[in-house]
Amino acid sequence: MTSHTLSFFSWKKKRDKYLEIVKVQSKNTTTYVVNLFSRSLVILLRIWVFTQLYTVTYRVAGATRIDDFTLPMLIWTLMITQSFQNSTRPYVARIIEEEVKTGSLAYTLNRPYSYLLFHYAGFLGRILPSLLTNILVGIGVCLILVGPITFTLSGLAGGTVLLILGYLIEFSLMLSIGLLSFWVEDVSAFVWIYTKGQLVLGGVLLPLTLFPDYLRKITEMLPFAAVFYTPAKLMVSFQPETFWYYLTIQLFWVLLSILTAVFLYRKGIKHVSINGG
Amino acid sequence: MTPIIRVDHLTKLFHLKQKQPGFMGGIKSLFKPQWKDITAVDDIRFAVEAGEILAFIGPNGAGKSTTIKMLTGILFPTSGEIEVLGYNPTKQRQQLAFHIGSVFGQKPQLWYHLPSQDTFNLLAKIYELDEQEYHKRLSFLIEAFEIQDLLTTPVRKLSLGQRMSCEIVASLIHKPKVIFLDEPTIGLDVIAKQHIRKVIKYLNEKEKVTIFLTSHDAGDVEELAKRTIVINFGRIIFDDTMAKLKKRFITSKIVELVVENGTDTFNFPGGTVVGKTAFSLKVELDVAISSVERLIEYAFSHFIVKDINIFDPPMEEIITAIYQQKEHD
Repeated sequence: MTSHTLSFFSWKKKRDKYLEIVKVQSKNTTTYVVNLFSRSLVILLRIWVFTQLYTVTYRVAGATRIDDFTLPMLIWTLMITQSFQNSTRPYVARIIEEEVKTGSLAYTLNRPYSYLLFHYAGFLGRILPSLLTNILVGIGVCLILVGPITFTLSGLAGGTVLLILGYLIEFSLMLSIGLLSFWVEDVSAFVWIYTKGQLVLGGVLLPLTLFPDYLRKITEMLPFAAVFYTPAKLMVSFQPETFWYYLTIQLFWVLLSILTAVFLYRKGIKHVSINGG
Repeated sequence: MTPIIRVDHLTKLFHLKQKQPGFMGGIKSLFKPQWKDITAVDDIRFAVEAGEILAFIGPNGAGKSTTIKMLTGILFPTSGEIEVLGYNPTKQRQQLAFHIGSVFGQKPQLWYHLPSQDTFNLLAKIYELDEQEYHKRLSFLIEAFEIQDLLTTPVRKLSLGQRMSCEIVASLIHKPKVIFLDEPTIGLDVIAKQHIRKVIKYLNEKEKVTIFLTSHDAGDVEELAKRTIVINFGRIIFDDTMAKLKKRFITSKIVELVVENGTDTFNFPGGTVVGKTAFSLKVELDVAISSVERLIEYAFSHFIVKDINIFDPPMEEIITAIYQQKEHD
């Protein structure tokens, strides 16, 4: 065998281990299908509340469009954002924190793989089934409450590209928070700040479309919106120049969040003390 | 022979934040934190040859697990050198991981909601095992640990003993050259313990796997280890064969006497009667006060002796005696 053939097999084996982690994690997530769907029902409840709330907002404003968004477009954007965000539970930060607290880090660190990629593969394995059920429930709810809207192929494609990067930012930020548990053990305060930031400034609760123009421009540049809101917005209303603008912002946050996670891991690994006998 | 584990002047210090109890204590420690350095492992040196079964024992907090975690590369030493199978665990953790296995008895590695077979399949991929080689290995382990019927049961539904067998199988799937066993029989019943010991022995004898064992179970140590290292307060206080361990730490002997003429008059300095019937006596003799020879002489001069048996105290008591030694000893 040539050295190229050997390196191909070696690469394939390395790829396979991460794919297997995705597979096993997905299987683990779908063990309780009822549980999976009941978690998605939160979307139903929230979208119903949002529909009531923003119907009044549009009525009071006397407008059919706000920042070029109709009420159904706004609700669909919120549903997609909610579905993306809801699929990331349990958060990576919580999982790493648990590993440190219980000492199971002794196993997860002690394997022939990259610890960071191991968690990324686990993250993908968790979000895929949840995302599917969330979207299914969400589409059903939106169709009933506000009716259908028109999606374009470029919107879906562009939004998906941004979503993949958005998940990468979400993972890297939550990973960075999780890695802080190598120093402080309990990272719930950091998780709380980040998730609330996402709720308020990331378009999960309040659509950024409704913000004053200057505030919307600022928040769209923050990582909170770059994670889920901008992919969802682009799926509903696609404009090529907006796509490139959001992509540039995302690439900046992807780079920064990955570098932060790698830096914290390299520092933290020398600092960590594994609990228990 | 070249040792496959070499530890030289190894030290691990933990820098721990101290907190006063209560709300005010918490506030105080926010503004004026107090730190304390704990030396978990203090300048230890040892080497392990290929194929050895080494018991690494000591009381809670002695530094056993910290040492294992440094040997496997998941904790960074404060100072000193470690070499395992020619690798530096700190710098080559991933390469080393292909050749070592570890079982932490108090921590699970199996996926809780899935059958153990799923974890085994995942580990085969993680350790980059050839498909055929993996199935052959798994068949052997399934038979050795008698887990045929457990493979498709979700781990959460297994008993502790069944789960532990599967945990050990998960650690052996990639044919490691060295296995670190940290309390592998904790919480198990006698039968499960015996079974696990039997398989560990088999792996050592047939596959020449080096076993690095820490356990509070005297039975594990006595049945498996040929050499014992005792660590206390982070320092090695004993490193030799099991026979020498007994010799050094045994401070008493158990002498059983079977006599014909009654046992009520027994009175010997250093001898405490720990069991008695009309015609037999069980005496614990403090060898610092008197010797077994003198006790036998005394017995023959005062009783009509039909039989004498002399035992070492149980391993459990020996280990207790070692653990109770103070730091200055």
